[in-house]
Amino acid sequence: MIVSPDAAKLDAEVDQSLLDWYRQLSLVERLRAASRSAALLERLRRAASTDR
Amino acid sequence: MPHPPTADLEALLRALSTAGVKFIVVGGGAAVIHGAPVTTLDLDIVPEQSAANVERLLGVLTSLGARFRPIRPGRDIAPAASHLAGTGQLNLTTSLGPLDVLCRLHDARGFAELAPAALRLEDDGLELLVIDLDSLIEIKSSTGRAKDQLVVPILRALRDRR
Repeated sequence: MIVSPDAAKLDAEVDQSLLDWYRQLSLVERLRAASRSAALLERLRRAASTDR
Repeated sequence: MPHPPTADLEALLRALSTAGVKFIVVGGGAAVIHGAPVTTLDLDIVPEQSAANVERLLGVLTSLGARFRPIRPGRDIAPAASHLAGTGQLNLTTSLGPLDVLCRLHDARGFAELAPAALRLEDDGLELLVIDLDSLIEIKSSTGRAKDQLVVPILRALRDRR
């Protein structure tokens, strides 16, 4: 695979400690965390669009 | 009652799994399962397309009030067996949030092509087939979508840790 300079920069920006934390979660815990985060982000997005 | 704008990944997967539907988790949900700390608005699955499995999948979708999204006046369409047996990508809304049923991926791979390398995982009574990490990276790298490009470095970092 060819890795562009931009891709290499993005690779370097991956938060390894966040990966460590997330990998401690079980499969089901990961699903729950992702769903809760998505719901919160969506509520924030809608609130932000209302506040404009 | 309107459907939620984001997917309850666990509830959707349990509904499908409990009904005996054969499918492979792909997309953002697969990234999450592999350990990527990302979020996704919808669940993407590639179903096995035997007549029996299409019937099981349709039963779950019907019970969840599935409709093609977005629902607009004059466009309130429930998925049918013929849709699920085809080659399209069905963007649905359900009572458990958005669900995309991908009969084929954008590179034309379907269940039969993905299944040999897929991972079989189990946790808390939930049994799943999930697209393997190498294939997920390959697919996310090739879509050309900005949101996929942002996830690829995280997936590569996960692969490097194996």
